[in-house]
Formats: sequence, structure tokens, C-alpha cells
Amino acid sequence: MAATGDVLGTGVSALLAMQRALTTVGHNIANVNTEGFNRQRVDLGSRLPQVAGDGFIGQGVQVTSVRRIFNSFLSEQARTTSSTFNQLDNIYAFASQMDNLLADPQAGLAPSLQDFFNAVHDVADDPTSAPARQVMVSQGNAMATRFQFIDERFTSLYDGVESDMRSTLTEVNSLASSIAQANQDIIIAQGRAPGQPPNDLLDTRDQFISELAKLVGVTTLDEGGGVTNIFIGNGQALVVGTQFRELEVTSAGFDLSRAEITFKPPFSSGVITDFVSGGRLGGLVEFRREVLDPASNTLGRLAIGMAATFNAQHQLGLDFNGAQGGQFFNVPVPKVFPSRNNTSNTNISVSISDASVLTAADYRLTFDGTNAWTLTNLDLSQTVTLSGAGTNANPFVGDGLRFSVEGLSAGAGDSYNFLIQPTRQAAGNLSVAISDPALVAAAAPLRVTAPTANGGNGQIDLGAVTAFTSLPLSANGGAITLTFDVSTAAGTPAAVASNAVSFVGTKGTQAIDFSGLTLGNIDDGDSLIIGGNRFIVDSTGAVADNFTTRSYYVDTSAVASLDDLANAFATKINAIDASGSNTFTQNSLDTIPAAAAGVITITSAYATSTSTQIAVTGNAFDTGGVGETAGTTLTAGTGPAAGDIITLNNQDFVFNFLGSGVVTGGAQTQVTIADTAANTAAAFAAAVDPQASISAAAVGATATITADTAGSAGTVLVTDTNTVADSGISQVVTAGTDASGVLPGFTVTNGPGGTIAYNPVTESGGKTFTLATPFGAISFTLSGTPINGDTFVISDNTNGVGDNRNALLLANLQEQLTLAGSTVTYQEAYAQLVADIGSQTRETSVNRDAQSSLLDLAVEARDSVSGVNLDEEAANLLRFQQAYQAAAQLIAISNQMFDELIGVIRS
Amino acid sequence: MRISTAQIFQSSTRTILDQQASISYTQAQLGTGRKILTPADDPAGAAKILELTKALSVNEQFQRNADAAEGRLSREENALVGVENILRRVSDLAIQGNNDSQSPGSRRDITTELRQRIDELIGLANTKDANGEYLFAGFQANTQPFARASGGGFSYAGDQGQRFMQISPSSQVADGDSGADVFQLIRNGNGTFTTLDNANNNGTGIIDPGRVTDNGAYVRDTYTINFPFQTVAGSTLTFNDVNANDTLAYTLDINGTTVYTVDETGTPVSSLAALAGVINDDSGATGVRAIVNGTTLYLTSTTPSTSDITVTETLSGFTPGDGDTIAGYFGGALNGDTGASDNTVFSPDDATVYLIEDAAGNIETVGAYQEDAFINFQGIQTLFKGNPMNGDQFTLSPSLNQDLFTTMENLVTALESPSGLADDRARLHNQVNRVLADIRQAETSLSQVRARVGGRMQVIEGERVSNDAASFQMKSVLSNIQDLDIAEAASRFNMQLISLQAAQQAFVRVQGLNLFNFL
Repeated sequence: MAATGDVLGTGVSALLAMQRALTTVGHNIANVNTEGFNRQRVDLGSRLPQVAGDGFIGQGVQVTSVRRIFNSFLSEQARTTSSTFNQLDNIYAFASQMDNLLADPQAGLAPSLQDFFNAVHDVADDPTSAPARQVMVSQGNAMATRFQFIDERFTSLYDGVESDMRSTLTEVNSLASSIAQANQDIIIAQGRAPGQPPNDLLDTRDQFISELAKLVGVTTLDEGGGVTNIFIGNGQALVVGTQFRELEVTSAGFDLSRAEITFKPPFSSGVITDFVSGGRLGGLVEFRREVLDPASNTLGRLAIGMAATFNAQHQLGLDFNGAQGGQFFNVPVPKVFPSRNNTSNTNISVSISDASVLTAADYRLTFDGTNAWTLTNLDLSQTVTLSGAGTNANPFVGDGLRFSVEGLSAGAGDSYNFLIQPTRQAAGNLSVAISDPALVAAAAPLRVTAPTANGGNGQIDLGAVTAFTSLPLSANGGAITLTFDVSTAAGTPAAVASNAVSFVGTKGTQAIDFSGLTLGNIDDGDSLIIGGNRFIVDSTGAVADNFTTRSYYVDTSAVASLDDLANAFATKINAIDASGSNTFTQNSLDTIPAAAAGVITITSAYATSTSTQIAVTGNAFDTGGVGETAGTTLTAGTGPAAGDIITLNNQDFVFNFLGSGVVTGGAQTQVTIADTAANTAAAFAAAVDPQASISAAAVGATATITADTAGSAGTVLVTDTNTVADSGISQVVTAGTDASGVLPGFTVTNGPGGTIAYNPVTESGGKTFTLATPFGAISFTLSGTPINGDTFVISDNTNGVGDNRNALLLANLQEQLTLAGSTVTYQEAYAQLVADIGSQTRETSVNRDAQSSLLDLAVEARDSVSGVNLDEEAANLLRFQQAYQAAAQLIAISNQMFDELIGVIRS
Repeated sequence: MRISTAQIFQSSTRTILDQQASISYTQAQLGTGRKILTPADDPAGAAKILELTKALSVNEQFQRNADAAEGRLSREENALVGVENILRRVSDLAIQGNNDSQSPGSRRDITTELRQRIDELIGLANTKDANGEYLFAGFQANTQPFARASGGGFSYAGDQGQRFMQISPSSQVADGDSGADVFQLIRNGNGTFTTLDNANNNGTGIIDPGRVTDNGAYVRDTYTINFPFQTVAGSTLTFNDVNANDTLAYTLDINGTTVYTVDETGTPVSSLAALAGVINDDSGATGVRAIVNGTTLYLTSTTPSTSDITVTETLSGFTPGDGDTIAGYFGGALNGDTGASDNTVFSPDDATVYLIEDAAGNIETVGAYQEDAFINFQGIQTLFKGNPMNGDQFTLSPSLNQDLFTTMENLVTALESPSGLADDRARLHNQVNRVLADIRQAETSLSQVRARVGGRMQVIEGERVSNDAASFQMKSVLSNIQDLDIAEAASRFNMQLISLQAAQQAFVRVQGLNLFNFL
């Protein structure tokens, strides 16, 4: 049997429960627009039944819990997507500022680069014009100003990043504090109602975390007990339980002007900037590192590269005053930042060694504590090979940079770490070094002249000077003259061999030795030079001698051996000596031989007055023929006739007197020996066998050898002790196997000296030469056919104010591949920068749009679970309202039941 | 799937905002007429635009360079025309002055005008361009190039530099020629050799400037044309010592100096070459030299002279009455008893024979002299008018460079030289002929320079045309990349407007629906 109180109790329980439910629906409706609100639901459960004999009697309903509808996975997803989206959004915001800057055709760099080089062209058109030079200097200044302007915009972006960082960190700090506070509140709340979730507090905390995720990427960890810990970066704790740490902007890195993120003291743990990712803060860090730094470096590299290469060419020219060109631009210097932990405070020196191979990377130079310095390219994370020793005289060189660590005296145990930024913000330091237009170096340092006295049609073209070493010529030996010589020492005359023709001079015996030659190597044109006379091989026998050039042709048509060759030369030399031509005198052949001790030489086949000869008079002796060698026996009867010549080959002639036969004494046994050269004191001496005597003779006189006894045999050694100083042989001949004969070419006066081989017969189309060190910067091309004695003069370009060769080279620098390892021109480098920024901006924009769609989907998914739908709540209102009304009715019925009961009892 | 109320509003608003952003972008494009608003819109395109803009600017600069070059070249052309006119006038004056009907007085009038012309020429050579730079000074544009030298002659203070202008990416053109090229590097004579009469000639021979008929045969050398005496000398000397009791001696004197003596015990020279040799050994004292060609011995004076050459052969050392004789080289039949000495006298007169030697003394050719007859040797051809005298000499030497002013001065000198005597007149004609030949060479050289100048101007014109074409091409490529297609953008704009309207209307409809409206 049911108690009336049961109905009441059930009714009341329902009423109370429905009241809760309506309150909760009302709470949902009220918070339809609250950010981060998760709709709540009342969990209803039936009360414990009463046990009766006839069954379990239900006791009504109770509220077991008020719960929020919350999917942690979807919520997490929405949060991380929001982090990424905000990061991209912030990157895009900054990148598009850079993009817009470079897009503006007036504010960009390209027009002022172009205007500058056009001004250089105008100077090339008229180098003497002072206005044109002034315009070039002004345009140079305008271009430097434009570089500085763009660099300033970059600097303001750096400043913008820093200030955004500061304000974001302030927000992060306040959110961290709020989250820590929320953790605290939740713990307390859970303590008050154990088992029941403090929904609104949880919502609030989740909302704080979502806000934080927009600012920086976070990782959450539910510690349990109602506490959520927050981590940023790669594991740095921001909130742990009810404690939180604050972040701040410092300059704790190498570069004191660069904003870095670190925890505030007392939790400072070093710079964590590079670990931060996600959210607006991550966006700032990534933008600065991936977009702004490279852009600044690339612009700086362009500024340095252009200034250095332009300077290099400018310094190869002459200015209006005739002085060597100086620097046109002041080249920005690399930045060096020593670490605070370096063993000593001495700084290293860094400069640019080769602007054309500069990269857009930053570098680190470290000392390993023993003896080695290492250079690392921070973009590629690769070590760079260094050459040199690191001293001022022999610096380290690598990647276009030059380092000197002299003065640092790094030893064992020392630690050194330098950050090197060769091109960062270098563009801001570009400036023009000259202000006087006369200092523009438009002219080239040298010019060349072909004197009008030249008779041939040779030509010379001067090449571009490659360095200023050994210039100006006036301080390095004077103008260089090239004189064409049909035969120069640059060619080696053919040497000779065997059966030498000897010429004796003051330098001792000069033997012309044919023995080392190969007959097959002797060609037409090979020659022997003696005192300026040239004896040239001619196998046709038909070429006429040329007395003007002193070229005489040796007929070698019948030569079959080296002996024959030697004899052919000897014959020709003799013939020339006494040709009888009335324009050629014998004295022009400088090889008047003189006898040295022990030697008699005959050179001439003619009995002319000034040559040495031996004339044999009388016919008492038989030589057996002309050309006897020592030891020959003269036999009587068929002796030499008067006028016969006996040729001695560098040896003493021995007259052997034979006994018996028709030899008779007296005059007919005389051999007269005459040395009729116009020489100094002569004397004949003879070692005489007792059977003969020889009388001494003076110059020009004859000596007589007389057989003492008719019929006796004996030997007479005749020597001529006459020594004569002659002019000697001016050409020293060395044996060799040269088959090319005499080479025509140019002798070089001043400069490096020496000779240059040039054969007009084969090379008249043009041949290029570079002078020997230290004049190796000078080169030229010779062509055409000069004649003997023609000259070319290379001299300083004094007063050459109308010369524009250097200006042309400067103007053409804009077409040269000068930068990035000689792969791009100046304008191409700039265009690459613009394209890079543009495509990075584009990429970010596309990614951001994609991320935005993802974010929408994630939010939608989350809200589809936990968002409030008013229509649904309206329906719930009706539902719970009806239940409430029904429950109220139940109470009313219970009351009626009670009234009935009481009524029955009373009456 | 459930949608929260907030979501409904969110998604509608988002759509409308997106549409507005697109419309704004299209509006910006339409407003500027450009397809690419920032490099992010088309990074590769943006880089290409920079490249093309630079190329266009460089092209314009090339046109400016070409204009500068053209200016100087036409100035040079004008100056050269002036020089050619002067040369033509000088040529006329030379021909006028060469005429024998002229008197010293009338020649003086000519030389007066010539002097003015020389000054005019110097003025032209010192022409300045529009910027005040000297045209013909090479690199030394602020230095006056030509002036009279203090010791006579003319000096050139410039150099041989030549300035080039860049008129296209690959071609440079010279904007002038140096003074050396135009006025100094002119070969004299006929371009290969020049003819010169000896200043002491006594005849009336006038030599033609000549020409090279065979380049292969021509050997560069200095050739001398002599007009010697032909002798009947032989190469043998015969002693006839009757009774063999003497030592006969033979003496050969030329112009009173003994050049050779030999007796019968000695060995007399037995060849003409040797005979010439002994004669030439003493040519310093005698003023006579001998030339042998084959079997003929010629005698000529070492410098032109009107004196006789006397060859005397003498026999000595004979026993009178023996009847000793010597047959001398020169045909002298010397007889101790009847005539121990013999004279042969050669008197200078109109030459009958010419003999040409090279610088080494080798004989090129020998021939009978005839007025107006060609003389050919070694690829050279020349001829004579008038009558050279024995002893006269003419030389043909290789051409050298001679400047224009000197040529004109030579004409003045020639016309001012005496013309009274026949040989003086011949000398004058020879000089004037030389000047005329030099002037012809100068005219050829100048026309070559003018041709070069004309050629350069043609090159400039050609490059201008191709630069224009390249410019046009680049501009159209630039337009393709950069300019907006208005039709496409306008229709896109329309479509976006419609989309926006649709989104807005949909939003209005949806947001009005709410269950609470019906409660």
C-alpha cells in the first residue's frame, strides 16, 4: 500500500529535477553567444526504490549530475588548427608588407640601378664632359640612397616583429597567469563538490587555453586532479599546476640588437626563440628567420657584390687627372659578433675577399680549444674549407670572406665563438666614395702606337688590363717597345757538326761543331750566324744572297753527309769573304781569323791582300793535293805549284822532307810560308829536325824552311805564334737538333725584356700574347706583316681624357654574371629577391587559406557536439516545462488525496 | 549532423566576407589596369617584368649612344669632305705649276695660295666636335693635335687611340679616327715605292712614278737607276816582252789616279769582276766606279757629274827598241816604241744605256735608253721622259708614311725652286710629279677613311632598326604579362557581384527562422 507521502515525495522530486533541468536549459540559452561555452545537460536518474512485499516502489527522479557536452579530441583539434592558422596569418601579414614594398615600381631598386648604369653609359659617350660625370656620381648617390631606403624598411620590419613579440608576450603572460589561477579554482571547486565537474570553471580554463593557442603553439597535459599543465616550444613548461612562468623579450644572443625570447628571471634558461612555433609568436619567429633574414642578406649581398665588382673595374682605369682610379663605392663591411663567453675580448677582423662568391648565409667561426678554427655555414649547416693561416699576412679565406685571428693568440683550452653576418643589413651601409666628378675613372691605363716610320703593315691591338701591377709604366721601366727582327735570339739557329770550321777570337777558340746534328733535321732556312752574317741552308742552290740583310745562302743540293755540310758552309763563308763585289768589303765579315799558338788557319780561297794564306812557292814538295792534314808526307816531284793553297784544319802542318830522289837543296827546296794578315807581331817558329831550318819572319814577311842536306829526310813543324786580336765571334753557337731554323719575332725593350716569337708567314691572321711577370696584366694581339725594324710602343695613356675604354667596361658590368659564383647579373639578383619574396608570400597566402578552411571544419565539428542550438533548447524548454507541469499536477493530486483522507477522518 | 546557432551565423558571415574580398581584389585590378598587383600574385611574372623593364631601358640607352656616335661621325665626314676639296684644289695647282709656261712670278702666286691651303688644312685637322673635343686627336681630346714644328715640318700631339660606343648588346662602333690614321699614315709614291731623282743630276730626265706590274716578282728593296758609260774593256792583259829581258809593267790610271799596276812577273787580274774590283778599290779617290754585267764593263761617276772620265793605260819597264807591247784591258795597244800610253775619254752626254742595281749592287737589268719606253724589272715598271745624262742617278725606294701637310709643303718647295736651266726644270717636274703621286695616294687613303665612316654610320642605322624591333617585341611581351584583360576581369567582376548578392539574400532568409518565433 502506497503512502500518500510517496506520491508527494515523487512529485516533489520530479518538480525539483525539472526545475534543475529548466535552469540548465536556461543557462544554455543565456550562453548561446558565449565564447568557449560547452552546452550543459542535466543527467537524470531514478531514485532508489522502496522495497515492499509487493514489489519495488519507485521513488521518483533525481539529478545525478550536470554535465557539459564536451569532446576533448575535437576541442584539441580546433585548438591546434587555430594555432597553425594564426601563425600563417601573422607571417602573411608581415610578408605581404615586404611584398608590397618591392612591388612598387617607383620605390623598388630596379629603376635606380638602371638609371645609374645609364649614367655610366653617358660618361662613356663623352668622357670629357664634366656634367656627364657629375650625373654619374649623383646617380650613384641616388642608388645608394635607394638601397638604404629599402634597408630601412627592412629594419622597420625587424622593429615591427620585436614590438609584436613584446605585446604578444604580455598577453601570453596574462593568460598563463589566468590558467594557473583557473587550475587553482578548479582544485578548490572540486574539493567542495567531489565527483562533480565544475563545468563553467572548466570552460573558462579551456577558453584561456584556446586564446593562448592563438598566440603560441601549446601542448596540454592533464595531470589529473583537475590540473592541466601547459608546455610551449619543445617542452618548456609555462604553467605547472598553480605555478606559471613569464616570458620576456631580451637580447641574449650574439647580436644585441636582435629580439630574442626567454623566460624571465629567476627562470631564465637561455634563448628559446627558435623552439617556439605555432600561433602568432611562432609566426613572428618563422617570418623573421625564413623570410626577413634571408631577404636582408640577399639585398646586402647585392649591395656588397655590386660595390666590390664595380670598384675592382674602376681601379683598373685612370681618372680625368691621369691618376689610377680609386674606390667608387664604400663597400659595406661584414658584421662580427663575439660571444660573451669568449676567453678574451679581442675581436677578429673580417673582410670581403671575393664578392662574386659571397653567399647569403650567416657563418660561425669557432675555435675548438686545441689549434683549429672552423667556419660553419649556418644556412646549410656545413663546414667551409679555409685556406691560409689566419694571420694578417696570410689570412683564412673561404666563401669569399677573409679572416684574420692575429692578435687573438688562441691556445689550448680557450674557447672562441664568433657569429659572422657578412651581408645582413649591409645595404644600409652602401655609399659613394667620391664627390669630385674628375675622379671617375673612364680611361684605360695604356695605349699603343705604331710609329709612322713603320714600313710594313703589321698591326697591334691592346687588350684590357687585368690588374694595375707594374703600372704606370713610367715608374716601372718606361714605355715598352716591341721591335720586329727577322731573326731574333728567340729562334735557335741550326747547329752544326763534324769537320768543324774553326774561328779563333779573343775569347779563345770557337769551334763550330757539326757533329751533334742529324742531317735529316737540317732544313732550308736553318742557318749559322757569325758576327751578324747569316749563312742559310738552301737546298735549291738558287736563292740569291742578300747583302743588305747579310743573308747568304749555302748551296746544300749536293750535301749527303755532315762532312759535306760543313764543307759547304766553309766554302760559302770563304766565298763571301772575297766576293769582289764593290759594295761589300771584306772587313764586314768579322771573323778574320787569327792564329793562336799552335794553329794556323786559312780562310780565304783568294789571294787578296788582307786574308791569311799560305802561298807555297816553289815546287819542291808534293802535298798530294790541297787540304792535307798533319803528318802528310810531301813527296818530291809533284809538289805544289806556286799559288796553291794548303788548307790547315786547326793543326800544325808538317813538312816532311824526304831524302833521295830529285830533292835538291837550295832554293828549290824552299817552301815559303807567308802569313800576310794585317796582324800584330808575327813570328814563325819551327821545331826543326836537324835536317831543316826555318828562318824567323816578321809580319808580312816570308819564312823559309830550308832543307839542310840534300837527300835527307826530316820534318819541320811550322807554327805561327802570331796571335791576333780580332773582333771575335759574336754569336755563340750551341749544338742542338733544332729544325725550325731562325724564328722571326719581336724583341722587347723595357718591361719584362726578352723576345716574342711572331712569324708573319704563318701567324699574320693574329696572335695574342701576354707579357711575362711582373707585366702579366698586359696583353695584346699582333697581326699583319711587319718588316725588319718596325716597332710598336706601349705607353701610359697620359692626357688621354677622351678615352672611354674603362667607362665602357664599367657600363657593361651590368651584363656580366658577377654575383653568386658568377651565375647572375645585378638586376637578375634583385629580380630573384623579388620573386622569392613574392613566392613566399604567395605560398603563405595559399597555406593560410587552406588552413582557414580546416579551421572552419574543426570548429564546426566541435560546435556540432558542444554548441548551443536555440531551437533545440526551445524544444527542451517545452519538454521540461510539460514535465514540470505534470509534476505539479502530481503534487496537487497528492494534496487532494490527503484532503480526502483527512475529510474521511474528520467527519 | 548538428549545427549550433553560432555556427549558422558564422558560416554565412564568412561566405559574405570572402566574396567581398574577391570583389575588392578584382576592383583593384580594374582600377590599375594591371594583372599583377604584387609579386605574390605571380612571382615568376614579377621577375620577368623586372627583366624586361631593364632590357627596355638598356635599349633606350643604346639609342642614345648611337645618337652620340652619329653626331661625331657626321662631323668627321664634314671635315673629310673639306680635306678632299682642298686636295683637289692642290692637285689642280700642282698641275698648273708643273706647266713650263709658268714663270717664277706666276709660280709665286700659286705658292701663296698653297700656303693658305696648308693653313686651312691644319685648321680642318684641328676640328672640334659639338662638345669642344678635338676630333682627330685620338684619346687626347683636349689637346690640339696638329701644329707646325719649330724646326720645320709638322708635329702631331695626339695619339692613335680610337673611341668605341656600345650601340647594341653585342656591337661597338668607333666614333672617329685618329689624326694619325687620317693625315699621317699615308704611303708616298705609288703606295709600294717612290721615285727620287738625285739632286745633282745634270740631264733633263723626268721619271714616271711607276707601278708594280707583278706583286709576286717585286722584292722590297732600294733600286738605283744609273746611266753609265759602256766600255769595251776585256778581261785579259797580255804582256809581250820581246827578248824576255824586261820586266814589263802595266799601269791603269783613272782620272789621274793609279788604280792598278802589275808586271809580267805578277799575276794580272783575269776577270772583269776582278778588274772592277781593283777600280772600285780606289773609287773614293777617282770618283769613278765600275760595274760588270756579264761580259761588259761599265764606268760611271760615283755622284752625278759633268766631268769626263779619263782612263789611261801605260806601259813601263820596257827596253826601248825591243818593240815590247802590252794589250791593255781597255783595248789600249801599248807599244814601248810607238805609244806607251793610251787614253780613253768618256764625256758625259745624253745617256744611251741604263743600268739598274739593287741595294746590294746586284744588277737587275741593263738596256738601251729610250725616251717614253717602258723599263721593266723585278715586277716594277717605269719610264723616262727627256734626256738623262751619263752619271745621273735615280732611286726607287720602298714607300714610307708621309703626312699630308709635308706633301703639300713639298709642293711649295718644288714650285719655289729655280727653273731657269733645263736641268733645274727637270728637277722641278720630278718633284711636282712626286707630289702628284703622293696626293693621289692621299686621296685613296682618304676615300678609304670616308668609306669606313660611312660603313659605321650604316651599322648604326642597322642597329637602330633592330633595337627598335627588339624594343617593340619586349613591350608586347611585357604587356602580355602585366596588363589586365579587361573583358575577362569585367565579367569576373559581374559574376562575383551576383554571388555576393545571392549570399546576402540567403543569409537574410535563414537568420529569420527561429523556433522562438512560434512560441
